[in-house]
Amino acid sequence: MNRKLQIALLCALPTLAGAATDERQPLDMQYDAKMREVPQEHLDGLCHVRVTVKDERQNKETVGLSFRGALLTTDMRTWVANGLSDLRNFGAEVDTEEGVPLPAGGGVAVEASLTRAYIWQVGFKIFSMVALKARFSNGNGLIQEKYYRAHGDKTNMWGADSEYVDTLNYGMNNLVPVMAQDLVSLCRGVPVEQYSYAGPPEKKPK
Amino acid sequence: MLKPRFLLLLLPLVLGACASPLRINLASEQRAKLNEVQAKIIVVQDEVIAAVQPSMISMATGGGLLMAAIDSSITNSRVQAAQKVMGRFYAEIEDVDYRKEFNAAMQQELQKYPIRPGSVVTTPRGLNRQELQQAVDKLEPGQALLVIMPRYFLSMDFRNLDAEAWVTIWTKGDTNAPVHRGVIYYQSQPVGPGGPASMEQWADKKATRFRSVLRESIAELSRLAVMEVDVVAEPPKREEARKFGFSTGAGQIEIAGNLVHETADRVLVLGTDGKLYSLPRPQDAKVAQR
Repeated sequence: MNRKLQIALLCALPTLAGAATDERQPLDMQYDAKMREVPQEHLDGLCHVRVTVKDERQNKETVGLSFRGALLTTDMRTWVANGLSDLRNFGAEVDTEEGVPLPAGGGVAVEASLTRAYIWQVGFKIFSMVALKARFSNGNGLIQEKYYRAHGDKTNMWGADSEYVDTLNYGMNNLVPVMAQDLVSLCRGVPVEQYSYAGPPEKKPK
Repeated sequence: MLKPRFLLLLLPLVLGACASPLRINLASEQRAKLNEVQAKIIVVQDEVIAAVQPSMISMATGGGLLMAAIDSSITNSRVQAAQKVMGRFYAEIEDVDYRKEFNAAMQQELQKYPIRPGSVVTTPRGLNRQELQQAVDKLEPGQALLVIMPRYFLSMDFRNLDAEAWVTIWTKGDTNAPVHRGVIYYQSQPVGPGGPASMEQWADKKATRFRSVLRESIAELSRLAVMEVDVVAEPPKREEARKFGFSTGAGQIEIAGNLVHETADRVLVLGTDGKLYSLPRPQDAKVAQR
């Protein structure tokens, strides 16, 4: 990064954080399927998918820092479960039952562990990172474990807390299509590559 | 919610912060009053990130929506490219706990300090003024609060791990300004030829090299943070300063400063910019670049 800019940003952060005096509240982590750049496309061959979620972030207290102070979070399991439930918009049947066998017709159980969820800023842009470990199994046992990472981005318009949540949703909505594509194979019991990264679709400047 | 107009109003405040001297040395009479230092380490980052230079075309051309859109697109592409290169490396370092390691290093470092060490707390929560005021209000006479706010990143070319921290010291009575303020900066030896090849070396064997260099960066920042309190020398004037090699990630430059201390591997430099640097020794850097 340009050193003058780096210094300016470094100067800015503590000052602006210092300017905020309000009691910080946890972010309202609502999953929003509309915060997406990758469309939901129906995929043939998807089966019944059972999603269970753990929140295994090393830092469960925050997802970063804004000009107004720490971006606080609580348990993010519901946000992840709702995000992965979007697999139904790709053609999967999705449930979030726990402790019961998969339906008689088969299907794939996805045990997802959220390992990272955070935001960072570059210039006027907010970026988010969402990392999940997923354990896929079917009636025959474990198919494979896989590691997903995805980032999302948004221009910081107002410095509002909701913008940071939106950016995390963009990240989640870049990740889900990749998992949906994987499930086409996994529903047949066929493993896929062990790591996938997803970001926003590349756009060429006009 | 902060309105754009309010953000504009904050701009002079931002620039004002940088107009004041970067470095405030702890006065010797203040130092003499201290008998215990409590440390609060604020680590906002959950993991290392890549330094990406934001596109600033709109600033250079006087603004406009089209230019802003181009900036946005270019910045996105740069982040996307960096993330793609770093992807597998992240899987290798998932268990690295920077906060825990920093806390342990700081506890160890403060033991060596002549002032009695108090509590050492590491948190991901950035402090706002109210929270800082509360922390300072709890101090007893003779106690000081040392606040360290590090950030760490791989350079744009992926060759160096850099870490930088704001260090401030606060005493009871006044939170309008710290009694000490400084910036400390660590730069690693360069690794590999740059780009994906360097990233492979960082990630190799469960990221052995990265883990070791990250530990070194933490140890150095802890050491520098404690040294900060005792560095009473004013930054040298440019004409009196020596030159030291520094990698920006886009090339090699020289920074001006005075040698404060040196070891077999590293030089500690108080820069004319007021920062205290821990840099790899130049000859080692050249060997690593070959």
